[in-house]
Amino acid sequence: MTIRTRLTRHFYATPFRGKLTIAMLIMVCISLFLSSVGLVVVEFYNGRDTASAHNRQMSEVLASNLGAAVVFGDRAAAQTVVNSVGQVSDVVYVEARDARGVSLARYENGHKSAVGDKEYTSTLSGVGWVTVPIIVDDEAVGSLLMAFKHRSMGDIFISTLPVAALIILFSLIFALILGNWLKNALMAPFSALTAAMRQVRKSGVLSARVENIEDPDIDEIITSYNAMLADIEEHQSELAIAMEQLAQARDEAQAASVAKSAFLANMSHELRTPLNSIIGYAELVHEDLEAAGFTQSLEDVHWIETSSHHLLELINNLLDFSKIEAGRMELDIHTICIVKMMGEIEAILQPLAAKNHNRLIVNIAPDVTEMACDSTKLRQCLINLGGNANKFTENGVIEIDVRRSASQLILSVTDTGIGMSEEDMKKLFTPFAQSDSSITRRYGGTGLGLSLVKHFMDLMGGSVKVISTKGQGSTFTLYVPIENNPSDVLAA
Amino acid sequence: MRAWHSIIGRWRWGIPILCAYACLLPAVQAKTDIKAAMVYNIIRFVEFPGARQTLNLCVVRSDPMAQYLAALEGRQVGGARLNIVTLESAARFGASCQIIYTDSGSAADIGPRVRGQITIGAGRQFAENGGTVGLIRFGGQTRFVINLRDADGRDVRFSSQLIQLAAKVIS
Repeated sequence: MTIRTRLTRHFYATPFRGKLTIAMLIMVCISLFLSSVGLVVVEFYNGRDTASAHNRQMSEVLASNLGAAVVFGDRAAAQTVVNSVGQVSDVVYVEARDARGVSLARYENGHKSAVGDKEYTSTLSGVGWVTVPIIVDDEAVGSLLMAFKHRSMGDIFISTLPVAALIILFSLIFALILGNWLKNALMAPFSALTAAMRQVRKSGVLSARVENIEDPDIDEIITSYNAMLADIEEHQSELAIAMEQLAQARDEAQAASVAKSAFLANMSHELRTPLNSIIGYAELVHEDLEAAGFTQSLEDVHWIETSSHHLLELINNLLDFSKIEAGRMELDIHTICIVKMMGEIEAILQPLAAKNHNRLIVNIAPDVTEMACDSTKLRQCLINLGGNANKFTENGVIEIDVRRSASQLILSVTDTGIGMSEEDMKKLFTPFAQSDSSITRRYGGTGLGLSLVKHFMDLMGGSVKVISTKGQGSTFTLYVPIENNPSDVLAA
Repeated sequence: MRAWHSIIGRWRWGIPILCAYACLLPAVQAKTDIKAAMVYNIIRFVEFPGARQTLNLCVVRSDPMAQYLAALEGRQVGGARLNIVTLESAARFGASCQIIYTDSGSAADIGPRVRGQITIGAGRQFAENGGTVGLIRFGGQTRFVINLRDADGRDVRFSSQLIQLAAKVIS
């Protein structure tokens, strides 16, 4: 980092008051410097002009005395006249020339002899130059050249330096004092504004206002700030009203939801009673028809039975869902043998697999034996997942893996079915949402199955994850915690 | 080399003769020229009584300086015009001559003179014998002697500058 950028950065980091002082000092320095330089220049030219005028007069006197000597070419006489300026200390060179420019006499005061006119015409040197004609009878018979010393720029600078330094010093001190006073005067409104802002922030009272002042620039800031405070105040009161309304609406919605769930739960329960009667009587009729040998009607009765079971299943799901929504679902934990449970599940899923020409494989890791859990809900989850797998797979493989980690029982259901896209997976566990409404028409189902699985797993403190590729199949995995089991009866 | 020698040999005497002719002729001329210029310069530093439009410089026609002085005709001297007046003999020098020049004669030859008239002549004796200014040869230079006594008697004033330049001042 160069010094310049460092200085610049330092300047920007300086507070506004500091910048004001620095700017003022810089301005004072610049103006004083410029005026000093101006004075030196004026002094130089004045001095030179005065010396020039004075020496021109002297030259003219000298020239008038040189007339005869020049006319007669009398070098000795000319030299005598020229030497008469030897008493004048600021004359450094005098030369008398005749009309043809031939030097007749020359006087030098400690100057090198080979002096040309050019050498003395330099503006800034401390040597001036005058040339006057030597006139006899109105005729120029020769010329007199005279070089004289006057104060050079450097001399004037050096002689004025101490005074200039003193003036600059006093001016700086004065500027500092004045600047300090001015700074306070300028900064007072800002300080008031800052204090007022801080007060508002600390107290949190938005109705506070900063008083307006005469300075139009700062008054604009104050007005804007007050307007902003008013806006914020207004918005906040609107916001408070909106929040209150929202909370009310939320409470109402919650109450309505609970009422709806309670209604559904009751309704589902009430629906099951007549349905159970239908199933019971259908079975009776089935047995009677079988005994009587009416094979033709037997198939119709069979349809009544299957449909009723399906309806019962739907109502059960609905009931479970309503219970969960109403917060009335509880866990019923027993110690169960996983292998036995898996056997039962396999027995239920086998006919479904056979219907779609799928092969069902169940793998149970040897370290999985028995554990405490809500077997009914776990079973329902696995049957739901297995049922879905069968539903969306034809001529494929359904594989159920059961294994365990240190803290979890892991059950995964993998199929080789139609699979899902990313978007489908996002809304997978939302109630009543099937990935595609066309699926409902083609494959049936309520759309409650996966939502129930999710709810049950949440209830058990576990989780469900899905991996799927469109057209290649899906894997649903259940993670059931072991530690959370109240009666931790797990064989190693 | 041989060719060089033959050329130099042929012109062996030609070069010095040419040189002598070239050098001597202007030298003589220059001397008289300088004298004429000197006369003019002296007159410039002389103040004649009364305001004059013209100054008459009288010289005898046979005077060796006459033709050179004639060249000064019409020159300005202190606001007056210089007239060169050539006369047949020294006897004709009159009161109308403000300046009388004689190269060979003595001051006594010129005869009685009037107020406001100066005589310029050649030789140291000229001024000492009653002439006003005498031109002299001094160490290869032409200088002059001023007879202030004579000048004062005729109300003619010499510039102090001129007096300073004089080889000798008779007072």
